[in-house]
Amino acid sequence: MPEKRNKLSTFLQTEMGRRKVIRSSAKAAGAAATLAAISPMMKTAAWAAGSEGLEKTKLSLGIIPLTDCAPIVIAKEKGFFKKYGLDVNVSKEASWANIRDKVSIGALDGAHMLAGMPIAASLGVGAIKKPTITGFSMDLNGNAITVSNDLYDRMMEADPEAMKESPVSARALKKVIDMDKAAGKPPMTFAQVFPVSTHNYEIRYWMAAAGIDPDKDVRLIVIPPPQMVANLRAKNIVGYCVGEPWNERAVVLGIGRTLITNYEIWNNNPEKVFGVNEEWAEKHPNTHLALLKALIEAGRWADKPENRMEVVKIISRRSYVNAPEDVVKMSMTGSFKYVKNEAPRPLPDFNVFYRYAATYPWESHAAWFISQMIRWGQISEPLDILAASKKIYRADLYAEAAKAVGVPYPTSNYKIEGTHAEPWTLTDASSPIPMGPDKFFDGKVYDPSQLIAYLQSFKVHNMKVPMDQLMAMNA
Amino acid sequence: MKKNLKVLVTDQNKERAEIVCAALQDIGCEVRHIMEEGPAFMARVVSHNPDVVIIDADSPDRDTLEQVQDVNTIYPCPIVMFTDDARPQKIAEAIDAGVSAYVSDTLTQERVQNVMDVAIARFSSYSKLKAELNAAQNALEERKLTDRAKGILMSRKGMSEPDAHKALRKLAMDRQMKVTDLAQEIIKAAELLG
Repeated sequence: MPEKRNKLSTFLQTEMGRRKVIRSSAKAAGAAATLAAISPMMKTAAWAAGSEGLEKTKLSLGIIPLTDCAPIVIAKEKGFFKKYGLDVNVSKEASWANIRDKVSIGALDGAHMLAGMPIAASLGVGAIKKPTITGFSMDLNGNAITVSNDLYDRMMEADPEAMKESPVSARALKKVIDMDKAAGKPPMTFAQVFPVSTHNYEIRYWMAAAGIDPDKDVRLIVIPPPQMVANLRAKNIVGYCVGEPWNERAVVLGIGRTLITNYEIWNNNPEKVFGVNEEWAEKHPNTHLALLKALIEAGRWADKPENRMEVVKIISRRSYVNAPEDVVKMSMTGSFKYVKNEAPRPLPDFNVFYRYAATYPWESHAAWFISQMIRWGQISEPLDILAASKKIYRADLYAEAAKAVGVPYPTSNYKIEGTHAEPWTLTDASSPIPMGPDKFFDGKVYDPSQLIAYLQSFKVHNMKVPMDQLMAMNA
Repeated sequence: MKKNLKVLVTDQNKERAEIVCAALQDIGCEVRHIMEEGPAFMARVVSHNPDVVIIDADSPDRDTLEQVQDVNTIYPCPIVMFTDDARPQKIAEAIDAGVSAYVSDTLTQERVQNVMDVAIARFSSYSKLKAELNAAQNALEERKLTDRAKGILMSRKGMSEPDAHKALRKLAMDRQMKVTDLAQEIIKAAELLG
């Protein structure tokens, strides 16, 4: 596109310059370019070729209007889909349930999904069982836990020492809950966004680390993100875990305080993926590969700091996130405001789209989500966790696409989490990849080769799978 | 004699809800319509203890309703998503019509099917009607915009009406933009340049 724009401005200088109607402001130049471009002398930019061998070129991809729909939107708007011969329509959907159902029946070719969704669809957790896969992880981090001012004050009073820690634990919350119980009060209500969402597992992980049982000690309900702030204000809920801009919104309005971001709960945790149903992928292998290539390039482009403002401008549009640019900008440009009357704190990795091998669908990440689905009783039948992970998180497809694009990719499908507090280098890769920290806030280590031990290490859980059967299948 | 099915229609669109409710009553269902959101919405759903919940598929509240399927839900509602494995075509039809249903897992397929058929039919005919109305309105709006843009080209570039029309179409095609979006840009540009 920049090439076209340059041509337009040259044209504009000769054509419009004579008339002396233009000031040198960039805005006016852009506007004049539109008028100038009407000239029949303008050459047409040819439609990029490259669609040979594709089983399907006209595609419809679903998104939920959240900042992390960026890789799909950028691939469309910056021409990466077109480069690989794809003509993509981006369809804005109202709910995750709709995304799941439409991908499942083929009304959408693929979609922006919560990292746990392809797993839930494949295993039939709260869904019609439909094998669903991902060959591309869309981003890392991006969520936070926010509570009402009232609850914050009660937590401060209950345990000022615990509240001083950073990242903050839920120990003070546990004390508030214990006091309420002793007084015979009903449990407090918290919200998250979907039964198999990252948000659900994050808020549960954070609470449970302090000994809170999220199924008994609180009421944990589902509310769509745009309704969170209003419900916090109306005191229907006392806190929530959600993506941006819905934490910053409550903070800026002064009705809540962010306690902890999910980056702090688990540094560089996986968040959304690009999901397609397996049957679709098998029928359209070349188209799927072309999609993955375009998305890798889009993610890489969107991750560069110098491109972030353009990403903000594009995704803020009405057809996508439909939010003011300054609200979308907050979470996208590396700082986070926890409290209204406090300066934003730097959090450069709050939105990661490409660096740290962010786009690679680690099978060990799928296994982590499965471990949490088992922990909280959403999966009740024993299964071979790593075998299921391998079938759903398709690192092999990613590697093929990355090789074709010419970017480095991991050569191992598993990664131990919780051992790096500092940046490090991944050498199990086609060429070394700089990685970010991967600590959990409670200091736990997740080793995908020790899944049973990991599951057994959780004191708070609601497991329904018989442990002996699980052990037998995961020896 | 079978007990009447208790159907809960959750739709923010009152007009459509009335049509759907009336049609369901006609086939002998006991129907309620609710419009709440968030926690109040789930509380209402549970207090009605319905056999079937019909929900607008384009409502964000679908995700809230999804938790009735979560095993650890605090809402003890024996309801699952409408899945007619024998006829997957029905699910596609429902999604197409923009309607979803969550049904009690004790219901027979046959009884649910009746309710679904009625809901699908009403949602479809309603959206068809709406689409026709919208299309007519949009066409009028688009015509106004392109006429203004053409006027700008005619006065600024000295083009004839047919040339302005052609130029507009060609650039829209080159840029893969809708003619109306381009027209809007031209109008904005003209305003900026005074």
